[in-house]
Amino acid sequence: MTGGVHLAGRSRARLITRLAVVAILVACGLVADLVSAAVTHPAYAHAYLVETSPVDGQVLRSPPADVRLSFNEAVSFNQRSFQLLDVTGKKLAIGAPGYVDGKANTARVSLPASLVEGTYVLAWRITSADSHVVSGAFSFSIGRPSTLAAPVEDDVSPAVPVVDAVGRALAFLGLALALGGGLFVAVLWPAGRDDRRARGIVWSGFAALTAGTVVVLLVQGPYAAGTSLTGVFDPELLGATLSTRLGHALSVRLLIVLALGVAFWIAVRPSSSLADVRTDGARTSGVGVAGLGAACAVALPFTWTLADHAQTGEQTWLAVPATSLHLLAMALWLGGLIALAACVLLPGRGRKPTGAISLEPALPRFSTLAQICFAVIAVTGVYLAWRQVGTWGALGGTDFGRLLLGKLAAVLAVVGLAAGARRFVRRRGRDPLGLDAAPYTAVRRLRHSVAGEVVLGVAVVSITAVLVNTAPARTSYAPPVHTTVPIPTTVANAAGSAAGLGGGSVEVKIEPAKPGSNVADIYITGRNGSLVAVPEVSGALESRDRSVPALPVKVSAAEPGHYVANSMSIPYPGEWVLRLDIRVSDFDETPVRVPFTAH
Amino acid sequence: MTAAGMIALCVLAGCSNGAPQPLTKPPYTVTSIRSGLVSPSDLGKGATEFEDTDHASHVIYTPPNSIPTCPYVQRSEDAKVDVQPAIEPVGGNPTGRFIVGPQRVGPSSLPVVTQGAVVFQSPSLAGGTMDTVVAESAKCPEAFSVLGGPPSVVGAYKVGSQPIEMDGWKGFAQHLVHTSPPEMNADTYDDLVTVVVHKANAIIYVGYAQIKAVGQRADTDEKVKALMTTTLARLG
Repeated sequence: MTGGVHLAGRSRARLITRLAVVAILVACGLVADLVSAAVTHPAYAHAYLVETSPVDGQVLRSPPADVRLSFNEAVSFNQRSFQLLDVTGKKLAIGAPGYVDGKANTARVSLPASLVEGTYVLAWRITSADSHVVSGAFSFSIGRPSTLAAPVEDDVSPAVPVVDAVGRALAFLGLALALGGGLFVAVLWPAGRDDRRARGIVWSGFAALTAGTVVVLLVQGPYAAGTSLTGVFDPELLGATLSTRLGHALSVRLLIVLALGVAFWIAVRPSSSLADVRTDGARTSGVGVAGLGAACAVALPFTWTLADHAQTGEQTWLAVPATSLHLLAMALWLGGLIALAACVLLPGRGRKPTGAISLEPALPRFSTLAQICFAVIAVTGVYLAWRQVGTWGALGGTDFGRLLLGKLAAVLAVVGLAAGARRFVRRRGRDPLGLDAAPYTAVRRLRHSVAGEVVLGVAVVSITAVLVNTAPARTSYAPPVHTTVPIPTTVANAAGSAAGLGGGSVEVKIEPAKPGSNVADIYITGRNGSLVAVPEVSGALESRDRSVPALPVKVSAAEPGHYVANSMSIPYPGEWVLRLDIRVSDFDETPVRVPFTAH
Repeated sequence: MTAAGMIALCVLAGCSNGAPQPLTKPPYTVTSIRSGLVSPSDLGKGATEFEDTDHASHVIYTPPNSIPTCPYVQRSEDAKVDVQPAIEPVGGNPTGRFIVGPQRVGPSSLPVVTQGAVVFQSPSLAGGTMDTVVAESAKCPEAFSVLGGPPSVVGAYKVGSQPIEMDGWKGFAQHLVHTSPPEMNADTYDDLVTVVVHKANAIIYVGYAQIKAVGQRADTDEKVKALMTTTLARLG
């Protein structure tokens, strides 16, 4: 008895040690990767506008022939992607959009020559290379600016992104059931080919994968055009989607699903050559079917990764295969787990008690597969997390980071449950009578554990579906700039209202410190920390790139000693310098340079 | 099963975030919307409240049922744009204007809150009025001066505005700083934030004013947002 207790204690200690080692490895990997990320150049997954012609706010003497936009990466668009609005918000007719000199990261829209004097807004809505839609607007004036430009409203129906996310989740779940379930039924569990429920699970996976893919294909058009769900069957929108990278990927996916379905059907049909390998011909045919299935299984994840976050930003050569591997491992584990739980472990209506269904060889085979899958998921997951998040601040400071933490918590819970199941297999596997001789209570615990894994696995898939629709943390995270620079000693002897500036400083806060419109708060403080008013502060934004001219920044006074730039426009991410010219008297002005990084 | 139970617990925990239950919900009425206005207990000890019916005595007159868009601009001599200081809504029922503040106003006293709401028959009417208010406030100049009139309003005015969203209420927070000429008052300045927000069939406006010593940072923006986060939560 005492020996048994000691054995159990040692076993528990071994399990805890293993879990701790896994946790330490994961944590060390994260630390190493995130620290290394801090010194590397940031990557940006969604497209952003680099420059426009005319530039935002420019006043032109005559109507321009066209408007040109330049993005940081390849973009796709259609006729509805651009709108020209006059000061009343009325949409004006414009020409068909196209690329400038065939460059995929540009767009050009011709304008009517009859534009009258006033301000116009060019609203754009394009699809990034990672299939996500980004939008924005800029204005320009002809002659002189109008008093008030029309507000640009995003009229996309809120139901569209929801349906898109549901479609993506359905496709993920279908992928798992089709690949993981298919492998379990056709290879890991010999009795599975004859099991109607098992085949049904796999076929339902094929159906979900197909349905989810079709939903995404249909919804992408209205999503990109910013319209409602009524546009899902619009041939023009569907045609536009099919001409994009995402459309190509989804079309190829449907073809692969068809081929994979045929391979599975051949594998599990009653006269399957996989089941009967007694003749050379049958053996050759079986190898062919297995090869087709394997090729399809490997190719299928690429239809996601070649049109999502993986193929934008840095290290795409590694990110695409890593993400594909991550997806494949997830699918094989989750789909196999569901099939194992539903067909082997849990008794069903009208079926024999579980005890009559042999756990061997399905359970030990699946256990080994799951172990390999977890190793792949852990290694690729850590790399992908680093790539998409980049910094510790982004982990807690963005929706993407918080979702990732939630997913990590769910995965760790799964790993904990899976470790228990693995322990069951190894311990009972040493029993001469095999797994089927395990006590009923032990099998019941295993059932509960696997059911928990399934629930958590589906939760992980759901979180993943939302994650792929969320802007990566690297892109969305922009810590606000908050810095203080000393006042040059040359103004220490200033007289008048600025007399208290000697030994003082300039405190600058910039939010959100991202491309686009920003707010800069500038506090001029004296030696004692109180604000000191000066006659005038003017500003300019300077790039490290000497070829980029300084951009004027309009600075207004707030309370005495506090100055605000309410609409400081940062054109693109990178290193910038906010140059402040502080006039301290009628004759004296001193420049103060505030370097910062826009993310 | 343990894991499933944990998920259920997490979901339940997420649903119960400890926030106070709202006292009412849309559509609002003239009576129910008042629960979202600032009360003396919200402002602090020593605060008192009264309804502002004596509007004719104001140095900057605006109709008591109006929604502010650019306070004080009507007294300016150098504002280069034609902008209304307030908009009188059409088709809405106003609550009237209420002032919550200390008995005596000074640099070290409680702030003064001037507030009110307008309730409409439909959200579209409220939305249309809010669009008008936002458009008018967008015309408010960044700087203007008042050269004549009562000493309390003479001086330079600096205006900044930012969009704001709290608990589903959307609108703008307009920051106004008033400094007197140095020969009249070189020690203090007025720090005023006017928040106008809209949700469902109602528009609420809150003006939050403090007197600050020159050299101190303006903090009305943060204070009014913190205060309205509490008061608007009561409306649901």
